[in-house]
Amino acid sequence: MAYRQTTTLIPTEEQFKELFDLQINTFWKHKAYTWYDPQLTFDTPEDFRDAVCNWSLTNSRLYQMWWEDDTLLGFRAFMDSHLEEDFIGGMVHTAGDDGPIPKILGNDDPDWKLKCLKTDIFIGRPDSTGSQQNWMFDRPEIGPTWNNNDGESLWESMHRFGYERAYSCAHGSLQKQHLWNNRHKECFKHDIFLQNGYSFNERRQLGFDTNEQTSFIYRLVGGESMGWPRHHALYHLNNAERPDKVERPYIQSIDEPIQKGIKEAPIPPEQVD
Amino acid sequence: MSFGPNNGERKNVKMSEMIISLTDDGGGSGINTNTAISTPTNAHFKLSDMYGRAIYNDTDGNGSDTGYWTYRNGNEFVDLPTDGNNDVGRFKFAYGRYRTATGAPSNSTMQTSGTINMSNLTGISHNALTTDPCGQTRGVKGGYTSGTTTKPVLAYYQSGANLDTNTKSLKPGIFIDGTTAGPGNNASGLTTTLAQSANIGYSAYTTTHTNQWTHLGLNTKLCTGDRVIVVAHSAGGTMYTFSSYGPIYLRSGTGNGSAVSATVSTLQAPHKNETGTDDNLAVYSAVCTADGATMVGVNPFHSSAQPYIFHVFCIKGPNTTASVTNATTKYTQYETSTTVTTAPVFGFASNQKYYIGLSTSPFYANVQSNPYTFSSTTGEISGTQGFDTVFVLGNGGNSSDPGTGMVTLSNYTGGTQGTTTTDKYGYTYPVALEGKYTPEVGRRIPSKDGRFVQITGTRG
Repeated sequence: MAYRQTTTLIPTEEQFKELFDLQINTFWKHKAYTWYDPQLTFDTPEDFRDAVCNWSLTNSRLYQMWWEDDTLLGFRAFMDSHLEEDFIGGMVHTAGDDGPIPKILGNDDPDWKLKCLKTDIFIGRPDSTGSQQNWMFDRPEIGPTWNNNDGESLWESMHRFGYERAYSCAHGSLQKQHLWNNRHKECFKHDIFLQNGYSFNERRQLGFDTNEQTSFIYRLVGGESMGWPRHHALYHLNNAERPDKVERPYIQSIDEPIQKGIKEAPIPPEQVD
Repeated sequence: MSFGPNNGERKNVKMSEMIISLTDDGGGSGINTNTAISTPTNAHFKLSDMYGRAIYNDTDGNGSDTGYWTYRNGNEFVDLPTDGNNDVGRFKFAYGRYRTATGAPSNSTMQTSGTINMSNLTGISHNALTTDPCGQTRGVKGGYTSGTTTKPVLAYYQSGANLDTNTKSLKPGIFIDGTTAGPGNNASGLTTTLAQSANIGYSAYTTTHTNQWTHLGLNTKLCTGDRVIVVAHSAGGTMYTFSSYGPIYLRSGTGNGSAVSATVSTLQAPHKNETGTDDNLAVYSAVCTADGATMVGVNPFHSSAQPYIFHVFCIKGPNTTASVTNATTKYTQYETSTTVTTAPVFGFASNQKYYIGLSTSPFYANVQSNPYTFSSTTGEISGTQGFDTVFVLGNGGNSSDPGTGMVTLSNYTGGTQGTTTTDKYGYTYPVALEGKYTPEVGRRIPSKDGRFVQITGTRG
């Protein structure tokens, strides 16, 4: 069985809904995706699913999709950081200008959101072994740094759209425990968890608590190859050990001139009258 | 010099031309007849009409917000919530673009009250692109000049607003003088579609060399906050990513000129598409942080010498945004009709939205099908179209002059409507819709393989 990932495709509505339905309890009953209780705001799980599907397909910049041969195992969506999500025009679980992400970037760049994505919904299902953990935990092909030399790596996809990095947030306790307890597994091991959690919309800095439902914990997706500093005071002390450097994929537009030793011609000097 | 969008000098500013630029009653007899009323009347016009008006922006989605909009750049403002019409005026986003005879423009904030100061009202238009050449021209101005050409730009503008009986359109960017408002004949010899593009901040250039910097004229002089967008489109091989320098830079003057500081960014990294005939495309942006840029430096940094076409857009500030919403798909069929689609809606905005649709092909022996007539002196764009301006490039049908293309531009004045939707959390909240008319982009791929690049943003 060949595992792979794609980043240039988007799921069809049918694929989205099929995967969502397989995990409907996770989203509907355990509220793993929404800050609000969907059962208080939607009449049926199907209404909820349709709203999420429409939201995701409308707003996602790219999808990282995982495959076993031609079977879609799952995907996660990446959206613009500046996307407004809630009814007050705020950015739910989104990095704000006073939040941790610009502190890590540390360059006072007002346009940092234009170069930073955030992850949105993640859905997966078991592979041919009958286990979802099999491919998520043990298959390196699904990691954010994997390069299949087919132009489909996450790095290339971000580069294509002018992005340099991405981050992810989670607030559900089961989801947080799942992430933290398996941070050394293939799917998460290149991610960098942050030391602190934050309240809704980063109004308050909180502790790193995986046992409650309200605070968001943050992780940076992709490690250094996605443009994060190797070390930072805001990183969690107990992150999984990561390689010092993960080579980015070969990109002909960048690497061919390097290999050939070609540089841009010097720009003409200014005219001195 | 006249009052109008094509010259921001404070010389010979005439009240009569202000009226011509604003009113149907005082400014001519209708749609592109090129006939002006010799003695403008003052019906419906008063100096307070020159106050800057906030464009309609229904941010709470209830449909009753205040603000103004016009129908396809028409003279007649509609004000909400009273929904009265027969108003005339200016949008706040327009800004005055005062300049001295040789200096860079400066943005003059539109007054919203008090005694009107006419000196702040020169150089205004609804066009998101610059409309005052400030004494500059198109052309390759410096750097490596061998094998570079300047494409002829034919310009077409939408006719009247077709809202009701008041059909006079502001026709963004078009000459206004003492006798005529509109894209027709006038004393300055605006007799062809080529002349109708003379003042506009869009240019296209082709090159056939590699890895040498060329200074392309902006056809204007920019001020702080203005934005230059460069679409670089090449034939096969590999377009390289810049590593030692930014992908573009700005200069003032001619020749090598003097550096003008700018914030340079990549809106679309070099992207190769091997469908049909191989090509590469990238989109770069430079936002001026100083005044005076007249040239943009570009470099066809490539694995081999290939035909390139550079499309250069100058967006007026002082605040702009720009994003590329479609640039990677290859079209391999020659299109002799225009495929019109609704432009993407991208949120609420208190300033002007613009929508650029660029059909481009870099190859030799290339033909751009023209939807209009070459020598038209009247607007030929349908009165119901969602774009108000079309630029058609002269064809590259010979071996020494590659590349061609077409641009549609919507200088949108319809504001932003709102509605409510249920978000993913189940809450109802406002989302932006298109405004009071539908902004559109048009695609018309040249005879050789090409791409359709959509650029959207705000300005003002």
